[in-house]
Amino acid sequence: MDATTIVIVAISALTVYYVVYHLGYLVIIGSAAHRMAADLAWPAEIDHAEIFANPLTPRVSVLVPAHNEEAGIVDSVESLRNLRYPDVQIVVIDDGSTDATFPLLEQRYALRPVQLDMVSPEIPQEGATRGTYRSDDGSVIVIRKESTGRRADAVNAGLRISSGELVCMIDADSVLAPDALLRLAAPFVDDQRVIAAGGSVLPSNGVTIDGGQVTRFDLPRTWIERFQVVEYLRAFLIGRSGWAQVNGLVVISGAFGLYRRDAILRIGGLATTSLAEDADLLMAVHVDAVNRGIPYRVIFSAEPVCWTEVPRRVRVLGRQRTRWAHGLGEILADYRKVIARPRFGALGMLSMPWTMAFEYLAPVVAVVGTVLTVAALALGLIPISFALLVAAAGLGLSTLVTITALAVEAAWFRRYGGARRLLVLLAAAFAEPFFYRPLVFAWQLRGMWRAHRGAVAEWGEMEHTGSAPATQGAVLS
Amino acid sequence: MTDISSLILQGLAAVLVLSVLGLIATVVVTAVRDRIRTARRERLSAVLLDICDGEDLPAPRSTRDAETIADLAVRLATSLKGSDREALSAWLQRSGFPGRARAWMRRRNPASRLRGVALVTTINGPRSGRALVEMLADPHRRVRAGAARGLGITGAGSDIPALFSAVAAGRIPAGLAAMSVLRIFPTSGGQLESGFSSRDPSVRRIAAEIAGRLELADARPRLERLLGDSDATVVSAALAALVRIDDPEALTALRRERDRLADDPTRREFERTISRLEALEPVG
Repeated sequence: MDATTIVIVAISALTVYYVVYHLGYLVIIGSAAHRMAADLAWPAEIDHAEIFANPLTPRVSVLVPAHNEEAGIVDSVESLRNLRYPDVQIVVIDDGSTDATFPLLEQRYALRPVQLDMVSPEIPQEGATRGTYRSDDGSVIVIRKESTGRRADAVNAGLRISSGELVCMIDADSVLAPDALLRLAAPFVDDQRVIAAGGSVLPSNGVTIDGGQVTRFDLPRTWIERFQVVEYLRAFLIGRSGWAQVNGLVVISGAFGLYRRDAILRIGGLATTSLAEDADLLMAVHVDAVNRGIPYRVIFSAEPVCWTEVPRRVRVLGRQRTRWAHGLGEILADYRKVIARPRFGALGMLSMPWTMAFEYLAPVVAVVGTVLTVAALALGLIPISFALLVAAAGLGLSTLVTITALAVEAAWFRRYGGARRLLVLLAAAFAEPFFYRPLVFAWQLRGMWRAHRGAVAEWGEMEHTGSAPATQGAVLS
Repeated sequence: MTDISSLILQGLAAVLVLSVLGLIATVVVTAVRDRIRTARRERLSAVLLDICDGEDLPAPRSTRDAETIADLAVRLATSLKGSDREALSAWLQRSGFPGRARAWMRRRNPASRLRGVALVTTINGPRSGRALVEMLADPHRRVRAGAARGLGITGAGSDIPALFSAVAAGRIPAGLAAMSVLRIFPTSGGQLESGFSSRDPSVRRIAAEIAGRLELADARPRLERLLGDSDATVVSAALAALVRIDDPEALTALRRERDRLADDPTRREFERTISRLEALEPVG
């Protein structure tokens, strides 16, 4: 076999990789679309009215870990106080903030020091508690603790004193739609098998939020934010809906997830050693349920919306994506025994292998493919028409996947309606593979490298526009 | 090679153009459809409000209008009470909606069956309870949950055993049944008897919880019976219920059961309950 044949076979293999990836994604979108249509067809008025009115509706403890969140923490807590849910326990965990996060909460809610009962002392907490406080009306609890640089430790501190049968975790720069919790909690009431649920998370950039409520809706102004809107719709909304269909969800976003308390307690709380604590929590819950041999379900609901601010500066986005890739590497390594194991069902046989092959390794394949193609062209081993075909097929299929995702959003939710918004999203869909994805790949490679070196990550600062909840949201960098 | 490449690229370009056109068509079609639906809903909402005010309007002739009216009535009924609700229910019964609801409950699509369940609940006619009890055996979990909720709303004490049986058969979760039974609001412990004597511990537990929450004093002897239950969660629920009922008469049974226990968390739970009730017991 000569060099030309080897190169053509290698590039053909990469082409097959991309074709499988994109066609697979189209299947996921189709599955998600089917699911969304079925979900939206259910009449839910009586269910929601009854759950809202019944004294036995399970309490939800909403845990809000916050580190230097002065700009948005009040809006976020206000959105929680406005939730249409009968029994919400709001627990803000001020994780060593050095800004005005605590003074703002103290002033707004007239916080008073209180001694709180330890409901789950078996959950570990590393950073010492400096004080516990309750608002005048009892609706908000605040824990002040020393930071260990890990969001998981802050969540665990909240878990120890919270008492809800259901536990919701949200980011401190997130704002929930008024019905979001009611819609997400309803399946837990109706189906004992449901142990975890994720809700859709959408960028709040461009959205105006006042007093914890979305008052005006628009797309963000910069392209880096618009690319993220497209990405959230494709990967985090529709992609996750598709995987949830087969009980194969690998991650529920830390920005908005709901769990049965006993499912978290059984695994001893969140792992403070994990960088991707949200994915680690879900994987641990999956593994525990499979090991115990109980029928269980992890669901995703596209209708509830959590608005969260996404980075508007490339540098901040780079830090975030590097961290995500780093965390994903940790998860795949920690749960490698789940991959290709039939007893884990679709999780082991489909979604974990997919995540490994098409999410984690995608930047490596992209780099190898590009280098190989350029080298082969330079050496005259392949004709330019072949290289163009491969590139065009990859880009075209990628854009097709995004447009299909936009169509699903337009058909069922219409949150981005209007001709101008549609044109902007279409432009972003076409431009994304050229301008945005290479950047993301580069950051992912950096994250993979850090995971390989075993680097440690901590809370970091993120700039905010101030349009949305205007939070100085903390992200791990 | 070049011809094939060109063909593939042209095909891909065509698919992309078609997908963009599909997206635009989706947006336009859904916008038009939404506008039509909104107009119909506004027109029929006004009709329903007149009906709630006591006007006797003719039943809708078109199937689409009838379906929209049914959906709107279900939604409206969740916020209606008293005479408005009764007027709506009476009109729905007179206008042939019970038959429509029964037909929906027989459809293959589970969402349609749940729509039928919701309509039966809203109509709340003489045979609603029986229809909802039958739907507790529906193959779809969500329809069964809707039927359980409907039974809670229609509120007949005679339906409580059906809810307990559905829990024991694994057809609805215990928590959901508890919510429905509480909504029915039983007024005596006797109405919960099928729960207290169930073989399923989760049913015995919720019967105890409801008796406690509703402070059904006449349930005390039944709760005392559960103090010796083999399931610890049932015993805990019975103890909590006795605290809520606040009847010192329970002390004899509590002390007797406590004395049979070793020094374990359950015994300490008994002691806490006894202390609470002793504080109420008349001195001397």
